[in-house]
Amino acid sequence: MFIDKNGVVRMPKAYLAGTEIFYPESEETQKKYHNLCDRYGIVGYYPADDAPEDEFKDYVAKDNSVHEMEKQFFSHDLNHILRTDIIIANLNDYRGNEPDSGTAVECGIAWGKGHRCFAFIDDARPMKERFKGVTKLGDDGVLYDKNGAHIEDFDMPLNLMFSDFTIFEGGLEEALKGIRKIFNDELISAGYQPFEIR
Amino acid sequence: MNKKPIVYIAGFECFMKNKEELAKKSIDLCEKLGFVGISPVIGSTFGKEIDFSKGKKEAAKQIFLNNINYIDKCDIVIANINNFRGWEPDGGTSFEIGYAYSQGKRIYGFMNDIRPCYEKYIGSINNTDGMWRDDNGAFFENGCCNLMISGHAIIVEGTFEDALKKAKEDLDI
Repeated sequence: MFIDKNGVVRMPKAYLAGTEIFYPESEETQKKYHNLCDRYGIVGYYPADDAPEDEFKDYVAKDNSVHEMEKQFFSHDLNHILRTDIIIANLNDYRGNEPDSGTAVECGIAWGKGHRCFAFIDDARPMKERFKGVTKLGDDGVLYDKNGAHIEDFDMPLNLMFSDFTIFEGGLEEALKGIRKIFNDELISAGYQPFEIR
Repeated sequence: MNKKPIVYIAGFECFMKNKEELAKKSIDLCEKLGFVGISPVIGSTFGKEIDFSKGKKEAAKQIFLNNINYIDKCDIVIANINNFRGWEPDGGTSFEIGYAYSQGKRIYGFMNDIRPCYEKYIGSINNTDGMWRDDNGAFFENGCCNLMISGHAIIVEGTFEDALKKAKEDLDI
């Protein structure tokens, strides 16, 4: 339960953005994530979940070309975002020092559509401290990577474009715990019963 | 078209030492080809002065909102989607592409090499189940970048200038 933008108390729907779908164990993760969300009173939408019967219709590829398939999968994920209220994104580094770009794009879409935005990351220390790789302190006092690109210094683990995200250290469960606390505090202060974790 | 289309210049150039020079170069190119370029590095009259007195996080939020405001004002986003610090584009740029999409903007992404990711990847790669996977088991999509970008954006092989020329052609200006 949570209080939505219109002041209605109902089950929040969450889009679970992340790289989990790229791994061989994705199906187990999908089940695990659904169960976890359920325990914390949130309806989880994993990217690989089938589209439910509703007003958001997925684009159907006209052929098997890469681009047509990309359009179809894009519309599938986009529709999951459009039918949810919040996003919970896995913003861990992926194949380097940046989050997966698909996940990051989804964060931008969700923020733009007015979702409440949450993320989790294994190491939530500021980027300057958690950066994995060669760094060099410049004469200007700024920290640079090996290619001379400066490392952001805003006391945040991620690029400043994620500054409206509430970031939890850990995995999905830590994020869900934190989100449940935020939602329960809102419920209590409005005079409603909090949701009891199952 | 009476009014020149506004281009938001997205990319990791903002982390480079010569960022002002790079931003000016892109803005000049926009001007030359009939656009107005806005770079988050240089800012514009649409942006607000950043107040650093309330701490770094607050400053970051203000810069974020300025960038959002620039995207709101633009007609087109041209984004550098080359790899940054690994095998993904800069996360801030990806976020901006997503936000721009949500607001119905026309989006161009440019990259040096538009071959599929699994062909470009330099690192151990294997294919035992019909999918190219990295050493951690994560599979590669078949496109030149993540489909959350290529599923809607116009991808151009080349530079900012090439993407801008493509936009000029597409908009017939």
